[in-house]
Amino acid sequence: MKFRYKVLLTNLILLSLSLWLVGYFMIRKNFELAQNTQLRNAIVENNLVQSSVEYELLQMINNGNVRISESLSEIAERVMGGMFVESSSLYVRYADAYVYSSDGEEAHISESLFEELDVGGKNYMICREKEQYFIYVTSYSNVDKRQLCIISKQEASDAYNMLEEQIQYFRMLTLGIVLSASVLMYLISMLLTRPLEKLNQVTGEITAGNYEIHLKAAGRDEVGQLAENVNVMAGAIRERVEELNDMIHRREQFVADFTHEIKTPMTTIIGYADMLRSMELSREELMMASNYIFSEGKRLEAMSGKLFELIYLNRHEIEKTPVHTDDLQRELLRIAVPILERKQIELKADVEPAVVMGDKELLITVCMNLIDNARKASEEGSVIELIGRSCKDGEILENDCKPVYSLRVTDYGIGMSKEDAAHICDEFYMVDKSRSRKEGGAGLGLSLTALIIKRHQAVLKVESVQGEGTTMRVIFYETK
Amino acid sequence: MIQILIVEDEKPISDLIRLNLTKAGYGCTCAYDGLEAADILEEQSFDLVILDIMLPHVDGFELMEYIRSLKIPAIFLTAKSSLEDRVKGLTSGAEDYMVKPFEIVELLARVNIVLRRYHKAGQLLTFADIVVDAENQKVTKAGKEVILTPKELGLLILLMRNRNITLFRERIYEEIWGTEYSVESRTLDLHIQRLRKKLDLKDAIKTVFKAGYRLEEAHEVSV
Repeated sequence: MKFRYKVLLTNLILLSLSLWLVGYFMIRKNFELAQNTQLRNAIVENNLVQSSVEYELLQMINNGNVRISESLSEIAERVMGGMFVESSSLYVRYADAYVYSSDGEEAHISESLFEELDVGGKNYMICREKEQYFIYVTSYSNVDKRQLCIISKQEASDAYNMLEEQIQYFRMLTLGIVLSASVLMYLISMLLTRPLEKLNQVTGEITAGNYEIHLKAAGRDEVGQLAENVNVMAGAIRERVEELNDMIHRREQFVADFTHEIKTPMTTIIGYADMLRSMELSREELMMASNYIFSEGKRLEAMSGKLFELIYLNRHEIEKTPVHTDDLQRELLRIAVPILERKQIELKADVEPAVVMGDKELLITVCMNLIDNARKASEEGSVIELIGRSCKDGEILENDCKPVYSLRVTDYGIGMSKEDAAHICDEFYMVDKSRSRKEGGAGLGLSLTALIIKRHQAVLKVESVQGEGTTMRVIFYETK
Repeated sequence: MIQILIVEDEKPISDLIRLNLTKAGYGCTCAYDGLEAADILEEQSFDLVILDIMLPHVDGFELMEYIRSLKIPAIFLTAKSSLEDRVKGLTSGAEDYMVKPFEIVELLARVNIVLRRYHKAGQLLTFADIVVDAENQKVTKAGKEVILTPKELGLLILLMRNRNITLFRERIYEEIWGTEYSVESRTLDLHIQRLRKKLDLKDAIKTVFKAGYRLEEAHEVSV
C-alpha cells in the first residue's frame, strides 16, 4: 500500500471517528434537552389538572357529597373540557380503578407507572404508541383514604422527530465533509509524498548503476535532508566505483604487463632448452644457449623477488624506527662502491647526519635502486652524487606537513624525456628496453622504490634533462 | 636459398629463431626494431618475415602494412595472446599468428606451411640421393622409385622437414597417427626400421636414447 494512501486512510478514519463522536454527543444532548422541556411541560400540566381536580373534589366533599367515584368522573370531564388541548389525554384512577378516560378508551397504562409512588409524588414514563411517543405523568394523592391517581398523557414525538431529523442532517453533513476532506487530503499527501516518489525512482537508478544523478533539494524537511543525503551517497558510490574500476584497470594492466614480461624469459629458456635436447650443437652454440638460459633464469628470479617484495609491502605495515643517515651512508658505500667500480663510476656521497623515521633495510633498498638506475644511465667513468640534507625551517609545506630531510641521487648520464619521467614508477616500464635488458632490469625497481617511499609518507621527485642527467629526490616529512 | 627476415627486439629470442631456421636450411637476417626492419626490407628481398608486435619505434602492426605492400608473407610471433590481438594480427594481412613461448618444431611447421602456400618451398624434398614429391606421394632413391605405405611416407616427410632436430616419440605419434603416445607401442620403431631398410637410411636416422629419432645430414654435424 502506498504511503499516501496510508496517510489518507488514517486521516479519514480519525476524521470520521471524531466527527461521529462530536455528532453523537451533540445530538444526544439536544435530544435530552428537548425531552426535558417536554417533560417539564407535561408535569406542569399534570400539576394543573391535579390541583383543579383536587380543588373541585374538596369543594364537593365540603358540600356533603360523598360519592366520590361518580363525581370524580364529572369533575375530570369538566376540567378536561376547560383546559386540555387536543393532543393531551386525561385519565383518573381511584382506588385502583379507572373512573375517567378522556379519549374514551382504557388507557394502555403499564402498572410500572405506579410503582414506588408516594403521596404527593409524581411518576412519568415515555411510551411508544402507533409510531408516536407519549409522556405519561401520574400524580398521587389520598382521598378518603383511597388512592387517587391523575394521569395525564401528552404527545412527545417532537423530540424524537427532531432527533431523527438531526441524525439525517448529520449524516449528510458528515458524508459531505468526509468526501471533500478525502479529496483535499489526497492532494496534500500526494504533494508531500511526491519527493519521496522521486527519491524512490532515483535510488532505483542508482541500483541500476547510474550514479550521474543530482536531486534538487526539496526544502529543509526530512525529505529534503534525505534527498541531500542520497546525493551525497550517490557521489560517494560514484567515487568508490571509479576507484574500483581504476584499481581493476591497473590490476589488469599489471597482469598483462606481467605476462608479457614473463613470456620473454620463458620463451628464451624453453626455446634454448628445446634446442639443447633436440639438436647436435657446436660448442659456441652450446655456450650461447646455456648462457641465455642462465641469464634469463636469473632475470626471472630477480623479477619474482621484486614482485614478492611488492606484494609483501602492499600487504604489510612497515615498522618505523629512528634511522641515522650516516649509518645509511656507510652501508650504501659498502654495497654500492664495488658495483660502481666495475664501470669506473665514482660515488660522491655527502650525507648530513640526521635521524629519519623509517625501516632501515627498505631505505637502503630505495637508495640502492636509485643508485642502480643512475648507474644504468651513466657512461663509464662518470660520477654519481648521493647528497642528504636536513630541511631548514620555512621550506614549502606539502599536505600541511613539514619536510624534514631530503635525499637526492644525481647522475650525469643519458637523462630522459618528461613523458618517460612521468611513467618510470609504473610496473614494467622501461625507458630503454634493450639497455635495461642488458643490465638485467625487470622494470620493477622503481615501482618498488616508489611504493616504499609512499609507505614512508615521503615523496619522490624526478628532474631530468635528456642528455644531461637525472636527479631523483626523496623528501621525508615530519610524521604527525 | 629461402631468405627469412626476423624482426624481434629481444636479442635472446632473435638468436633462438635465427639459430633454428639456419639449422633447418633457411637463410636468415635479423632486425631489432621496426625502422631497421623497414630499411632492410627496402634493400633486400625476402620470402618470409617473422615479426614481433611490441617493437621499438615502429610496432609490428605498422610494419605489417609496409610488408603487405611488398607482398611478402609474414608470421606474427608475439607475447600478445589476447583474442583481440590475434584477430587484429590476422586481419592486418599476416599469414599466421604464433604466441610465445613457442616450440621449434611448431615454428618450423608453420614456416613451411606458409612457404608452401606461396609456392616458395620446393615441392620436392631431397636428402642425399632420396627425392620425395610430397604432392604426388612419390619417392625415388637414386632415380628409382621406392614404394612406401602412406604412414611410412608421412614419417619420412616429417623427418626430412625437421632434419637435424630430434623428433620426440610423442610428437611423431601426434603428427602421424594422431593418437596419444603409449609406452608399450612398437609401431613407431617398426616403421622406422622399414624406412631404414627401404631407403638405406640406417646411419642417417639416429635413435636418440629415451627420446626419439633424428634424421641427420652427416656433413653438417660439427664434431
